[in-house]
Amino acid sequence: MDALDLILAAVPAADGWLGEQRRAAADFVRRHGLPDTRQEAWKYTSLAPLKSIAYRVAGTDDGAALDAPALAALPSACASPHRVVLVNGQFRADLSSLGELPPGVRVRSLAAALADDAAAIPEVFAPAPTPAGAFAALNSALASDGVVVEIEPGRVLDQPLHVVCAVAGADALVCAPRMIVRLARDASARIVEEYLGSTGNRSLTDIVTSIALAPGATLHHHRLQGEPDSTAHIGRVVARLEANATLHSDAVAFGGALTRLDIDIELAARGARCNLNGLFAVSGNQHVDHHTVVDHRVGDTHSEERYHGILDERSRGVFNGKVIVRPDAQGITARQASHNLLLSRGAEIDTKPELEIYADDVACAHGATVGELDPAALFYLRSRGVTEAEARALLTYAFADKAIAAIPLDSLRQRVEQRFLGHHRLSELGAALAAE
Amino acid sequence: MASNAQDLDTLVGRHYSAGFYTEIEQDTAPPGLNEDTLRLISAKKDEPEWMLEWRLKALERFRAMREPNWAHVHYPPIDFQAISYYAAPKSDKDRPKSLDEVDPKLLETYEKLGIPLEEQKMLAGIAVDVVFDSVSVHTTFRDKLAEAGVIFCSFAEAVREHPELVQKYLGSVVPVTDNFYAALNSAVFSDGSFVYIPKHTRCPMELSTYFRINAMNTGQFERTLVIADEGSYVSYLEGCTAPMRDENQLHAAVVELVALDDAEIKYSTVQNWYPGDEEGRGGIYNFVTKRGDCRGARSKISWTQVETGSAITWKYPSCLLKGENSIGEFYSVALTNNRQQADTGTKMVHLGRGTRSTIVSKGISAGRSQNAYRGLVRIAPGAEGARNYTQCDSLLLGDQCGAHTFPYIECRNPGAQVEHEASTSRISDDQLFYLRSRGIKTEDAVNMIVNGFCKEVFKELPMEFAVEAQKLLGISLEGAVG
Repeated sequence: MDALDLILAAVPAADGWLGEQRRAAADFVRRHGLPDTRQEAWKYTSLAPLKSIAYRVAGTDDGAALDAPALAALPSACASPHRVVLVNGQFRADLSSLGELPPGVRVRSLAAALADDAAAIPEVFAPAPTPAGAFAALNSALASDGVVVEIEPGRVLDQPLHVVCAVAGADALVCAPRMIVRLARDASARIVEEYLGSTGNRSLTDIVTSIALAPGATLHHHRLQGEPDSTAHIGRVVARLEANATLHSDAVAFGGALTRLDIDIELAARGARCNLNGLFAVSGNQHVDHHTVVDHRVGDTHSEERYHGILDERSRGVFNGKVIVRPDAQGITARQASHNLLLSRGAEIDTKPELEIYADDVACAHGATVGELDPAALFYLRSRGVTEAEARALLTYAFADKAIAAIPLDSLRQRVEQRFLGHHRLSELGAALAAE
Repeated sequence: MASNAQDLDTLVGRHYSAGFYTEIEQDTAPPGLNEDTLRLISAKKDEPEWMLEWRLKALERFRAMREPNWAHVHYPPIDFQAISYYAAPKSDKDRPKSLDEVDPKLLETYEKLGIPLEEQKMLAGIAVDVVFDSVSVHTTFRDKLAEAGVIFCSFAEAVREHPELVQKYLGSVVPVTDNFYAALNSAVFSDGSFVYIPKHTRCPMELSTYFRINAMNTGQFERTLVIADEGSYVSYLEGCTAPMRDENQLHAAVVELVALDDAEIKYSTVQNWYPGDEEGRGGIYNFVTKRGDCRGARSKISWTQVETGSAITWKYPSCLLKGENSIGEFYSVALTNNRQQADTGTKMVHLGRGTRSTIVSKGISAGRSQNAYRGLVRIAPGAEGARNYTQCDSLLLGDQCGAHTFPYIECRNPGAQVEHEASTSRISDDQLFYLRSRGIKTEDAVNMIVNGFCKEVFKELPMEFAVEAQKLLGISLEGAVG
């Protein structure tokens, strides 16, 4: 716990409500410590590997080495006229290029927002902390920078806002940025969050994205975890949807030694709906854990969720999807599926699709499958002269494509496809597809 | 007021203690859980030294354990020191003398289930006349079983008569330290049943009819051990469709099954303990550990359960699939009504190559009840070619109840195939309308639909019980629809 004390000692000082909330959050973390595998929500994910790393909280100077050419060298994703870059959790004006934002769309750094009108921010800093969510509390204590996106009623951000979160510089840094996304009535936007870093970096990213969608608002939230296989990444997305608001979430994870993502969605008013699409493909000793909670608080709310996992070598995947239907929340549809492909001996998947239902007029279903590549399909391809390696690559790609094809943003979809093909010993196939 | 009442109590207590009640005192252990309680139980049962040692060790382990709180159930804390852990079977004096003294509601239920009069008396705890006493029935069955070489006796008797078998298998499936309630049971278990089926023997009868008359008053901490030796088969039916009269609120039983090479055990349960009144007061807490060990190659253990009773059910009949190509099955109907809470399901642990398991779970929630399925499917790295299929469906009757599904799937072998599907819905208006339009009353229509929903499980029950189980569902759902 010494390391944690050191981290907590770095909680930035502030006056007023901000200082108070940071202190309260830090106290919470100090009291409860970080979660361990005795807690249900962390049953399959041990933080023990992080214990031996001497972390320190990233400062402004730590990321200075990452300049424009260095950033360009990182395998970055979609091309968009609106780009924000965070390095080690700090907003970098010199690397960001917001371009010309449509009227009614405001994008700022969190530090700037806190300096401008701190009074408008408080509620997003205070999600009630839970012991299992200690990292979110740690983020509340540490976050001094990040991105704030606000869109006025009826306004549309049609080109995606590309938020690049890079880790760079010294080893073993703790980066704790906070993203805040607020869409007013009938506004709509598309945001791509991409996580990058240079190989060998053992930083820990502890990020919270809080999303508030007013009635009728629509958000496409794409999250691409592509950090090197040495980092730890613990993220939480908290979203609250008002009447007729819609959230599309794509969560793709390829990178990280240890990745944990919690997505908590509250469907708070009638007509709210969410659509969650997830893909994780890992190998080596990577560990990736996705927890989602979709809370149908009132009637006539709808959710749809599909996660695909591909586990190679000695990697381990965890999926825990929970759907809650509150008392009297009638007229609910909720569908959830977790499909997993084990590519090698030594890989492991632990999946738990949960339903907690307290109302009767519901149509809820979930399904989970685990298996290897279909031997009959492999045989079919082999019998037609396709090599074993190609056949496996083709079938693996076909499995992943169900998730990849569901990404509605062309540039991102292509990028995910490339990244997937590069990652998964599928390079031959990648070359063949590129040639087409 | 309070002190007055206390004085009165003392007075009354003293009065009685001088008379009739002293005699009873000797047969009931004072409340409390300690070494002396275990010594008393062990002495009462005339147990050998090793059995007492086993109990004492279990108590030591129990003390180091914490009560589990992960289940989706809520109840006030249990004071384990306030429970009396040994009570001799009721003497004839305490029992109702005839059916006239029995709660008419209970009799009405028996009537609906079509239980014969003599059996009704038995179930209601009436001191039965000599002709129908277990002795006669007992011996007929005993002869037949002995001829086949089957051992079927009370647990206490097995400890005395077959210590080598008990010592070899007791605790080998559910170790003393397995969980809080298993440890408690290991320390204080009262009695239960012991079954041993010798090699290549098919048990000549379903061990059910016998059991129904035999197993009254086995107490609240039952222990059952069933061993099927190589190539044998046994079908065992536990419990009863009729509501059981019982004063003990906490039940913590342990059931251990061992199937050796090519052996098959079919274990069916119909559980209908008192669920408490409409507000859930006074119902039974049923915290059971049931586990089958498919130790031998090609062995098979099949659990079928129909759960309609108890205020709280906490029960996960499981299979350890160790033997190559062994098979585990779990078929369950769990119905909760009023304020009942159930957290039940199964665990299928695939260790051997080519092991297969099937889980079919049907949950029905009505009233203000909470019904949860909790299941684990674990595929170990060595379980090459393992296969699991899980289906769990929940049916909601009423808008105040809850239906929950918590399936855990842990897979560590790429050659395994695991499928899980679950659905939750209510009876559709279309279905009801269709049946109503054909002149079927709403209540009957609901019964028909519910029975159809449970059909896959009922067909696994021994035939006569399947019929009773259907009636039982109808009765348990009375008043739930309207």
